[in-house]
Amino acid sequence: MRALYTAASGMAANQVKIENIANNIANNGTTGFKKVRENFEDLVYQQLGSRSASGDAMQVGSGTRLAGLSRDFKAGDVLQSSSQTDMMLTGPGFFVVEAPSGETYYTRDGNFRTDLEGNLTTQLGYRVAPGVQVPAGGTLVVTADGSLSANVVGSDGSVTSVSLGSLEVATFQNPEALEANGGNLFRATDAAGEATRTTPGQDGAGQVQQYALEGSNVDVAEELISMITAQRGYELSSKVIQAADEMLQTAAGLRR
Amino acid sequence: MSTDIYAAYSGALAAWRNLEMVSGNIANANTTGFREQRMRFEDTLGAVQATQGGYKSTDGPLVTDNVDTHFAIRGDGFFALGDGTFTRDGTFRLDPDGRLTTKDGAPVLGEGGAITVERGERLTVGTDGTVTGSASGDIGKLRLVTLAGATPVGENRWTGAPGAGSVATVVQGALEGSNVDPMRCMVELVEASRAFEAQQKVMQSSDEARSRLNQMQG
Repeated sequence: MRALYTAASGMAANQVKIENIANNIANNGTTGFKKVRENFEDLVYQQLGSRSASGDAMQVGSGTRLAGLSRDFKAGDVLQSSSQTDMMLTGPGFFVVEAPSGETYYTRDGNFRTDLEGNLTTQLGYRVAPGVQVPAGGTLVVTADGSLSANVVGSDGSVTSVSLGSLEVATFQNPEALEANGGNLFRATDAAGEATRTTPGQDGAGQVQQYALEGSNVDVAEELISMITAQRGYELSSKVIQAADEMLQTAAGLRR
Repeated sequence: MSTDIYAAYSGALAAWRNLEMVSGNIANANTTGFREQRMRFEDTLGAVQATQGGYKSTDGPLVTDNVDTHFAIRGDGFFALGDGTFTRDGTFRLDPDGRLTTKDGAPVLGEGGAITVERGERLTVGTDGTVTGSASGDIGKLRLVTLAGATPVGENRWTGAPGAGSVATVVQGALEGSNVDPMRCMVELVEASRAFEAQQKVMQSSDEARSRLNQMQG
C-alpha cells in the first residue's frame, strides 16, 4: 500500500507548486513583489528485507514534502513614474515604514504618498522612516544617496530648498527569511537577522531613484513552464496510483 | 509442496517493489538535489528478489534562483554538514550569527569547519568552492566529498563514507533539480504492471493444474 501514499505525496507536492505559481502570476503587476520558489525534500527511507549476498537490501522512499519556500530578491524592472513620491531602490535593501501601531515593516515598494499633514507614507498610511514632512506646496527632491529636500516656491516667486534629512533603509543578513505580511510589507524574523539601519548607498544597500517604481520580478514565461511541469508531475503521480490500484485488483483476482 | 507458485509470488513481490520505487522517484520529481533510485532483480534459489540497484549519478537540471546562499553541485560530490550527513541540496542560508547553514540549521562545513561571514557582508563562491566575503576576503573553502556507499536518509540528506578528491564544481545562485527521468519512470511503471500480471497468470495456471490433479485422484 505504501506506493499509493508515496504517489499521493507527489500529487500534494505538485498541488502546492501550482498554488505558489498562481500566487506568483497573480502578483505579476505588484510593485516591489519578489517571486517565491518552493523547495521540496525527500521523506524517510525504509529498508526492505535483509542484505543479500551480492548487494544491499533495498531502500524504499516514502515520498516528498515541502521543505520551505524561498524568495528570489532579484531586482524587478524599472517602471518610470511621474509622481514625486514614487521611488525605488536600485540595489539590495528595504524602505523602512512604521505602522500606526508602532510596528516596523520593511518594503521594496516605494509607491509613497503624502498625507494631509505632508508626512511621507505608504499607500496604507504607514509612515516612511525616519519621518519626513514635506512642507505644503513643496516639491520633494530625493537624491541617489537618500538626501531629502523640498523646493518651496515663495510668495515672490523665488525657490528655496529646504533640507528634510535623509531617507533610512535597512539591509538584512538573510532577507530570504523575512516574513511576508501582505500589503508588500515584510516583517523581521530571528532567522533573517537584525535589520542594519543605514542610508541608501551605504553598507551594501542600493541607491534611491526618484520618479521610478520597482516592478514585480515575476517572469510569466518561467512560471508557465513551472506550471506545465507541475501539471505533468501531478498526472504522473496519479498514474502510479492507478497502476498500484490495478495491481492490487489483479492480486485480489487470484482467488476465483 | 509445489514451488512454482512461490516462485511466481516472489516475482510478483519484486514487481510490487519496483512499483514502490517508481512511486518514490516520481513523487520526488521536484525535490532539490534528488537522485533517481534504481533497483536490481536477483535470482536466489529459484526465487526473484528485489535489491538495491544504486542511484543515478548524472546531474539534475540547474535551476537558477539568484539567491547568494544557494548552491548547486556539478559532477560527483556532496556538501559535508555539521551533523555528519551529506547533501546535494544547496538551499542554504545564513543564521543570525552569519554562519552558513542548511534550512533546518545544520552548519555547512568548509575545509576548516563552519563558514561564517561578517555582518552585512555578501559572499561569493567560486566554482572550486572557495568562499570570499565582500569585506573579510578569503573565508574558506566548501568541503566537497565523494561518498562511498551513499545511502539516502530523508530530508535530502545522505550518509556514507566520505572520500576526498571530489572534482565537482559549485555554481552559486542556483539549485540542482531532481535528476528523475519521468519517461523512464513511466516505462518502468508499465513494465512492473505487466510483470505483476504475468506472475498472477503463472499462479493461476499452477492452481488450475493442481485442481485438475485433485479431480483425477478423486
